[in-house]
Amino acid sequence: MLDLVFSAGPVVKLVLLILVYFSLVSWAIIFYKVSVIQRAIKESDRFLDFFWKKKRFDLVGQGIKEFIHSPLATLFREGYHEMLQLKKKSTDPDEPGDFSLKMDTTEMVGRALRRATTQETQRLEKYLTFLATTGSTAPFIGLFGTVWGIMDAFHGIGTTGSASLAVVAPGISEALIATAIGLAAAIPAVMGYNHFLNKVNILIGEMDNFSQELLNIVERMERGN
Amino acid sequence: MESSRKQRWQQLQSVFEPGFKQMLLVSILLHVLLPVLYYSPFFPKREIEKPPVYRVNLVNKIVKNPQAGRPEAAPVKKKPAIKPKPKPAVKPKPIPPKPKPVPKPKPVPKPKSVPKAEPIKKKPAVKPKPKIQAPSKKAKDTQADAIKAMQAKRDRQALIAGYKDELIELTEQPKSPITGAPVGMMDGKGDEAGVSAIAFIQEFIQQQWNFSKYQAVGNPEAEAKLFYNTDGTLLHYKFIKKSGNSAFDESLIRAIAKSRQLPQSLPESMEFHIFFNLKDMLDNP
Repeated sequence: MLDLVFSAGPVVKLVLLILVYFSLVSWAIIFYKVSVIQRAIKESDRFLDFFWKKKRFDLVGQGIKEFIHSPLATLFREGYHEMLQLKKKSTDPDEPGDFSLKMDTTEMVGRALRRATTQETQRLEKYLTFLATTGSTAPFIGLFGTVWGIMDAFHGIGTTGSASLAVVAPGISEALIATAIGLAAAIPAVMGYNHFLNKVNILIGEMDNFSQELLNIVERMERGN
Repeated sequence: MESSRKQRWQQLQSVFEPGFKQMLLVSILLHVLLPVLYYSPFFPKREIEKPPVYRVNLVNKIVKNPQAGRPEAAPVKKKPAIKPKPKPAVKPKPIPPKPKPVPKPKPVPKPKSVPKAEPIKKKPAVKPKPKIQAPSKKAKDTQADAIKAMQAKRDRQALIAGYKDELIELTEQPKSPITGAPVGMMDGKGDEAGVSAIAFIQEFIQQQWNFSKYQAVGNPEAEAKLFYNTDGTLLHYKFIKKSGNSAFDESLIRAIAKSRQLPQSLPESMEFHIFFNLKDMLDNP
């Protein structure tokens, strides 16, 4: 197998190098995303349990440091922080009274939650574009290497003047290895991309749900006040 | 809070998130490990069984009576259609009636020519009749001319018939399945597929023969008899006629001595009568 790689032409070798780079980074992203998304899902589950057990925001805010990888905990932190800011401003005598009266707490917290959701989505989706690029371009890059290799092989046939199987087969075999490596890089990348995108979408759904729940609680608190 | 947001932004913009470098190392290790595992003895490899290669020496079978055709061609089953077809052409039925006119034309001056007319077909049975009725002395010359003309005609017919038979026989020769060529010797007349034993031995002796053309004076010719066993061993030989050129004769003796053992066996113990002609041997090395 390695003989085929070493006996290939310079263009095919370059193509193989690019494909190996794609494969290396793709697998690194796959491993990284597996750990990040698994932690995010697990910690989010734990955080939801923790959140519903504690009836008070200040208690939840104190224990939130245990869930640094959970996007839901990040959402809560952002929302809670916004609420604290509003409360601080409403009780601060230096703040202009007219302005504090006009502020709608639910809307402000909602904005903070939306911003946090966007940030978390970006964080979760980071590197996935590379997987998509690998999945869609690696076979073509491999195919380019193969076409180039076959061109070389046919040129060799024309030079030697022999078209026997013994002359044709090694060149085509060397050329085909580029397509094989292209596919080997692309297949796990596509599979990983689809898998992680599904998981990220689930987490985004969870974040939306949690934001709505949190806003409801904030609104109830506001009306109760 | 402001600093944490800034930190998050920087994290999003960074190439490597915390922990990503370690995963990259893991990936590199995996890629290095794959070829190592592939070439390790733990990885089962499909062994391609090479098909057995049989090396054979294709030799022409030595036979006593070779067929006509190329000796290189592969031998085929014996002719199934030769015998039935030539029969009607080769054996003309009118032969039995011929002897009848033979005793009658005794007075005719040339009885010798009558046996030659044997192969002639249907017509000869009718023609002799007028000869019997014309023994008169006046017509002797004209009769003799007529007989001559008739004999010439018969000879020509016989010759044509012979050529036709030969042609039929040639076209009816068994064909090789590969080349389509008939099997045997170019001048073969027998019924066995292969090479004539005498031609083979002459060729073999000639291969062993070593003679400088500068020693050649005139065109000496020798004649020898060689006796070979079935396994191709020379039992004995004798010169029936020596060439008179001692150098040539000695070269022949040396060649025969080298041909003590033939590379192939013979169909039976055989005696060969071989002529060695210097010019022929030099012309066909």
